[in-house]
Amino acid sequence: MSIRPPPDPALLDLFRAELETHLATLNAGVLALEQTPEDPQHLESLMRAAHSIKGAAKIVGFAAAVQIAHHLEDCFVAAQRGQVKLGSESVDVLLRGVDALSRLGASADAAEDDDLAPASIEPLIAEIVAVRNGQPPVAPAAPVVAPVAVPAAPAVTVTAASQSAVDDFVSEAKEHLAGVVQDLLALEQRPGVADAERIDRLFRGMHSVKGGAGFVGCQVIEELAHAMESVLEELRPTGVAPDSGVVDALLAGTDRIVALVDDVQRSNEADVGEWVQRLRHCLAKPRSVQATASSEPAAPVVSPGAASAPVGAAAPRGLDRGASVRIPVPLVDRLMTLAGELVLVRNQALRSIDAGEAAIRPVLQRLDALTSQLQGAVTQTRMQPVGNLFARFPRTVRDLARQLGKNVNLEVGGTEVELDKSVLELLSDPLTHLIRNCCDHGLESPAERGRAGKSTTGRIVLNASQQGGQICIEVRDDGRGIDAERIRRKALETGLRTAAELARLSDKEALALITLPGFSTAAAVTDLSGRGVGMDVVKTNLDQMGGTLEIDSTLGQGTAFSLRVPLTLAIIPCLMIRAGDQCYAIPQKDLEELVCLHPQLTQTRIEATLDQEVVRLRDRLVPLVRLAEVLDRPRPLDTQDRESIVRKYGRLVMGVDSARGENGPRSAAFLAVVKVGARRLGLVVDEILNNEEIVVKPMHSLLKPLSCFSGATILGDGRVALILNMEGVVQHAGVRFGAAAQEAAEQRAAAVGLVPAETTPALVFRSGPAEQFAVPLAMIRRLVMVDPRHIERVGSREFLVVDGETTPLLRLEQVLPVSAASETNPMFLLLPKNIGRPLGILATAIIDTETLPAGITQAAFQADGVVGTAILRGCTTLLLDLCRLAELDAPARPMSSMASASRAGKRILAVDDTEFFRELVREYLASEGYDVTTATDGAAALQRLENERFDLVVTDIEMPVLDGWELARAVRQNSDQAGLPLLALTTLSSDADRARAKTLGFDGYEVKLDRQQFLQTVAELIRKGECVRRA
Amino acid sequence: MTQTRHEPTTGALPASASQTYTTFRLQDGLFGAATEVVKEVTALPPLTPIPHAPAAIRGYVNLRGHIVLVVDLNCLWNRAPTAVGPDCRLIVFKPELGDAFGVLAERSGDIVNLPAGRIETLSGAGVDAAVLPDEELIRGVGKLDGELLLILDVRRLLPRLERAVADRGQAPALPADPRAVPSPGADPSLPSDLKEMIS
Repeated sequence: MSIRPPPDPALLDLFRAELETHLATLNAGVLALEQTPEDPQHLESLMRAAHSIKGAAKIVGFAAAVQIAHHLEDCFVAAQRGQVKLGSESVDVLLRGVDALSRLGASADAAEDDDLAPASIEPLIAEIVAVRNGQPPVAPAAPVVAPVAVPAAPAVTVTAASQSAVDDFVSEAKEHLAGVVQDLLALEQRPGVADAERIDRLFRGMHSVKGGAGFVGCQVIEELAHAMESVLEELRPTGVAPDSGVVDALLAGTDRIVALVDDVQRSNEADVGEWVQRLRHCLAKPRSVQATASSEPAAPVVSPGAASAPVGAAAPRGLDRGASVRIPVPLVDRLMTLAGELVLVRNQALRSIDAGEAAIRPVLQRLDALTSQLQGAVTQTRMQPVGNLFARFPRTVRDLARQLGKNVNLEVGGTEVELDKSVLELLSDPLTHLIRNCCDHGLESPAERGRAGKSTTGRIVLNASQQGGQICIEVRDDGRGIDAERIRRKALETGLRTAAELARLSDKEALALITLPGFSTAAAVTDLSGRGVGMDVVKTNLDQMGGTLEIDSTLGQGTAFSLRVPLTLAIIPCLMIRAGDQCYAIPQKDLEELVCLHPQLTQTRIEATLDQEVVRLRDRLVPLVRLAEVLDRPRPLDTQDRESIVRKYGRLVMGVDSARGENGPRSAAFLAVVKVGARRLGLVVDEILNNEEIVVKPMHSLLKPLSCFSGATILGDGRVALILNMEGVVQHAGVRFGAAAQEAAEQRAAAVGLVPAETTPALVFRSGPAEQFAVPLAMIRRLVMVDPRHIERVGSREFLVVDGETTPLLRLEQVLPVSAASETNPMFLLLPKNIGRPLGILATAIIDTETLPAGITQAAFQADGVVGTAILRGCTTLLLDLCRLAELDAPARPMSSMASASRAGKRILAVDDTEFFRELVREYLASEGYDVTTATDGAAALQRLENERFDLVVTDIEMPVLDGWELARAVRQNSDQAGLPLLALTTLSSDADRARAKTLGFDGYEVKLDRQQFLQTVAELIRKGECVRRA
Repeated sequence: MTQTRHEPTTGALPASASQTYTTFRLQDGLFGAATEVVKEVTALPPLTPIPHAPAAIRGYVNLRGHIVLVVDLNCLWNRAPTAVGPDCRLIVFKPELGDAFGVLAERSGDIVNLPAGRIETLSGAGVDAAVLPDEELIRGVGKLDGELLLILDVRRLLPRLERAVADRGQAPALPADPRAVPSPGADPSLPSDLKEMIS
């Protein structure tokens, strides 16, 4: 229980802010003492800092802090006067004093903190007093480790003053100078009157200006301020207002300083000799209260740089056209919130107001632009130089180096790079961990370094740079580096990864393993690190703010950690999606691409193991997570959950349930491909809505355990939406990345047999205005959009360059009795598969992809190259045979080497569940003179085979009822048909499928569909079959 | 005034102090929360459900630009969820209690002023704690004319919910049909001896 009422919280906040600033000065200054113990500049700033802390602590009533600060100040003053030398042996004591003060800042109830109770700080005070009196330290701070290895002063580079420090100095100096002018004028009014308080205040004000100037490197201002201070110091013992001559000199000096501060950048080029001389001169004269007449420079001084002295003097505080204003952090936060709200209102306005009205549109556009600008500007106010954070590390490194007996040199760069306050706060822990790691694990002992031929002083570089919307912070050492092999061994020993998994990892990926919870390679757990928690924390904090960590290491040469963090966390661009009946936001930073899986394509592209769906995206298998299903289950998904999801959608995909409408037939699946660390994941969502800049609000503290969400936001329509945390979603869904993809690939061949039906997706398009065409997607290699103005003519032919290849164009009206292509821009080129030469078929409009329906008729439209017609999207549609069209386009090509006479009477059974292909195959074969019978699946084919004799069976593989594999098995088991040649004709093209076909007894294997090749194989098989039968 | 807030459930309240309570109805029961912790009583804006949260957390609403968590005491007490209707109100609590949250009320009631002397602890009122909807969250029982006012210890609500979040998805806490509208008739949760006291 505190005896006095606790201080006002606002006051406490101010105190803490103040304390932080001065502590940074103290830390840096005390460290610098080790190198330059007598540097007046450092001592000056140290003294000032301690003094300021003392004053502030007094106001909030922290007696302990007052005492510590007071004694520290004493030390520095004594050192300034040359009474004591603060060498490196004193530094530890001073630092502990600084530490005690900084604990105050951290503790909310500092006044009640036992550690800082007057009694408990007595030993510390005693030590500080001993230092001040020049006695050896009472107790050494740290056990002295290997004195040889510990340099008296580890080289710690402290960076020069940043621009923000200069700005701070300018605004502070102006405040002080305005006060000085007022006080001087007041003194002048009453010469000879005792006013010790005012003189003291003058002295302190000028003293502060001097210290600040020295701190930011403005020597000229410092010189003049010093001269001023000297005069005032002389006046102090008397406590009596000086005569006007002295005041004049002081005012002239003040005016000059004001002028210099106004142009602080060039202040060091100015010459102040005249003013310094005058101040010395007025000092040299005997101070006489009465001798007003004798003051030589009686004339009012008009100094070149200070013509506006009275104006400057009259300028009230706070009205200077100063470069910076201090704003309390809560106010900045409030501004940020308000700007965020404004963004929301803007979004709402944009959504609800009809922008079609001419009068309102410019207003909306301005509102839009201004809001964005305002938001940007307010975001700027939260920015702080990263140097504020870096400033603590020289101290950290120094302490660690001493403790470990290592020589470490820390180089800090990019301190001026600015980051959002909240990001900066989150970075603090990770950076501390990394720097500790560098000191402890990364850098070798001096002896070890010596043996390796390196400089005995280790080097750590801490650097920040801005790269686009991100900040890159690098922590690099020139130490021993990380052994990727050792990481692998360790991961194996601890069971974090299997040997197979490890073998697949690159060295860089192996290094990333050290961020796994519970991973540590340090041979021994030291006081500092090695418990395997540090890197975990680094990763967690970075994840929290959407940052990334990259580790690069060369054995024996060092390690570099690169942290990438966003500039700000408060407003992020997001993609809005729908899952179930709710909207969710996916941060853009997590998004890689959006894919629409058309229902007719999903089946061919979504594959599944027992409990994990995967999708093949450009030959990479990406695990699928169905967001709605994951959000439906409050507990993390187990194998059973995952299996049931796979079964549910497996059926849907196959179209078994969709007809019944269970769960609703899906119009299309939308896939948001997201990055989770280095992995990719396909998030299946119900709808993709829009992009929005959203204001992130944290989740309710109760809901922090819900790992799937990182926050909430208010949408344009006023509803609340949750922001997805992809890392959490992945964990909740229990996705297994590498393993799942691998298994899926292996099981693919085996699983194919389970797929009962093959639907044939076809591209529906138009060329001329009259007809609609369709081509199975399987026959198209690519579809490209072209500009008809790029079409070139050579003779009667048209060409276009596609992918650097001159491609002849085929207009459908050239080979079919159809209407001429409409003149549109853009146009499209269909590049067919398996025709052996470049050819583009011109289309003017792409309608859609559709499943080819049952019911293809030949009667309605008969033409070479047209398989038949079907009703698609309500229109009679011509189904094209691209291969045939290509042949028609170049009729000179040789067709087949075999005389058609020998084919007569050869009977072929063509089995395919897809009418289109069935007809196509029938036509191909019939045109060669074969006698063709068709069957719709394996079972129907077997029936035919029982009663009839064939010379060849051409069969599809994926068919309902009885598929191609089973058909082959049945045929081969029947001794009657042992010699019957079997040809597989399928869209399956993997080596595994080919191998399987061979073992099941297929004699040939053709991929749909190269007419030429197909017919040749057919001919060969029939010939072979004849030989077998004759034999 | 501040002292009464920290009074444990079973402790005696100073007889002299008087306090106002914001009252509301849930399934025929009259509940009250100390007005000093109530920020406002408002109509319920559209709810955004929060997947994975326990049933007692109905979702988020946007209250003039602030996101407020909506708690359903009926769900917390394993009763059918409060039906969202036109009479439905949200009692929003002051920020001093933690991140913004409010409880759903089927209807809002009056603000009543009760001297501490008319509030009894559960034991003092002779109420068997086991038959109350929630012993832990009921700080006392106030006697109004012809009715009992169950006074909520709002400060205990968040810690209580925290446990519910930790247990989410484990306990079969949901009633058979979570969408069932509570019957306006007999209230199974209010014990008969309490009803007798009312009359």
